[in-house]
Amino acid sequence: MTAEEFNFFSSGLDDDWLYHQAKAAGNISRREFFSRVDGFRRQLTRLADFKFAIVLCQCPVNALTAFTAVAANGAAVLLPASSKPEQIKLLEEKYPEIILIHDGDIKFNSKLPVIELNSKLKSHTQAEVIIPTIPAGQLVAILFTSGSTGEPKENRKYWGDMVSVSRLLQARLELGQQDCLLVTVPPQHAYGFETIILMPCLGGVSLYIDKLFYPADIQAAIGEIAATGLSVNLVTTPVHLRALLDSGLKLAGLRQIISSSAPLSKQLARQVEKQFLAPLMEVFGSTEMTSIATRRTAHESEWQLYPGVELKADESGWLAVAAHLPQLPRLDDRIELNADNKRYFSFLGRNSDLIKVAGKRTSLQYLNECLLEIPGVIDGVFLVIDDRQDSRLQALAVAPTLSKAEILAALNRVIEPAFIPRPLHLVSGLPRNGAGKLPGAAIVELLKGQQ
Amino acid sequence: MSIENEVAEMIIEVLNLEDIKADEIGVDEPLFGEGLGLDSIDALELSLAIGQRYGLQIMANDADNQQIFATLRSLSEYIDTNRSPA
Repeated sequence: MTAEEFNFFSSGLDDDWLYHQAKAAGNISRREFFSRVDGFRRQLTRLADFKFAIVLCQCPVNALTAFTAVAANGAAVLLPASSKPEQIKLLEEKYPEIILIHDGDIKFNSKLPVIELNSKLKSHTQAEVIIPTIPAGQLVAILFTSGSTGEPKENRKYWGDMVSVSRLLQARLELGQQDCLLVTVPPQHAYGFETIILMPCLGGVSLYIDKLFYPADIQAAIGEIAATGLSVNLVTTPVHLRALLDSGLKLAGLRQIISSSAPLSKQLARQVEKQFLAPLMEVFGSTEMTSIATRRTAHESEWQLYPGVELKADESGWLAVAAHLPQLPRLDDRIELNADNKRYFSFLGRNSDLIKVAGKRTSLQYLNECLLEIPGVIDGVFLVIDDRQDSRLQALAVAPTLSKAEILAALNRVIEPAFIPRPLHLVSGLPRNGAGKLPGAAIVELLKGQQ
Repeated sequence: MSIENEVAEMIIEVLNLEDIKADEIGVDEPLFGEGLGLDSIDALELSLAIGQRYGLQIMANDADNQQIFATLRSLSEYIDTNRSPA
């Protein structure tokens, strides 16, 4: 395996590779990118000796530049989900010889060596392009679980393994040099890391430089990239897909939409495909495993594993087994392998979702799916409010066009009476965080307002 | 109703901030982080509401997006200056 090499095609060195919006400074070729990386790498070397670099950059191209420069120095990036001072302090205490790279709008009161990476970074004019080589065994990144299930836990990523996972993702999504990724996900997330950093580094795909967030940004960027002749792939989350639908904006010229980070309902997937005229692929993964499977949610219920990845059960649950997953990551999920073809599986819910009411068992995941499948329900979640196993469930639903009675009647048709929420609260929105997840504390706050 | 008051009402309604009233949002208090404590998903929801009510599409790439969402005053001024005629 040629894990040491970045997969940059020397023939395309001077072609545009990283795309700015039209009114900005212009696009960046691979040659210019490597020149910037080399310049930034020198700045880092002058700043301090370091083994780890916290990267808080929000702009995709800055995250990519920071990663490449840090990796070229033989060090690893730390990608914390939160940039809150307490979080940074924890990292500072835990990791020796550490620096911090950001791209603005963040205030620090820290003794760490801090460097701002500006997207207007000057490139050196040099005859020779220096393409870094990274040993397969090098620790290149540490990702952290979001903390919705407890303290953030580190996950170490080694270059050779990341080369493997990126090849699998690339092959499954059929991404290549003709493709450009437009990303609404932060780089400090396994899904963001795979798409913003690994795909351009190793898959040869182009990347839209700026952070995309508002529906109008996404619409404009799609138009600009489509006009270049590249295939446009939107990398996003269910929260953003819902916002895009609600905005009423037309998105024309998408080759593919990719969603991950939170469960996507079949209903939303169908609406998205119908409205934006592009296939929507959902990616299954976790911080521990990175991605392992995909499905086309509008048409498929089962997930298809990547070639070479297997799921195996032991006495305490499921493990992901693959050459690039030597640590045998455990799934915190209940799944069911297809009896005829073990390349396919159904996701039944999180382990922590299992509930028992009046002697009957089900999972919150299943109940949430039932709720979200009701036409008119935009978002919703079932909740177990206290620790008593036999307490009534509650549910929150966002459904401006429906009454409580209509939602309860629809639920009654599909779920056992024991699981009908009591009460059901109609709310105008759920407190989802930046990654589309629902922090428990925010739900508790929201419920307080309902009582 | 002043534009600030109108925008404050919209923020409370859209984000379901039930425990505060429109006149409790200081015009120069930060909306995000330290002040009112809004986050990025709130910004996304507000952008949709602003699009629906004022025919105005917020973009992150607008020169001063951070400035627009900085305070109630800056957001109100932006909406008032740029909105489509009713």
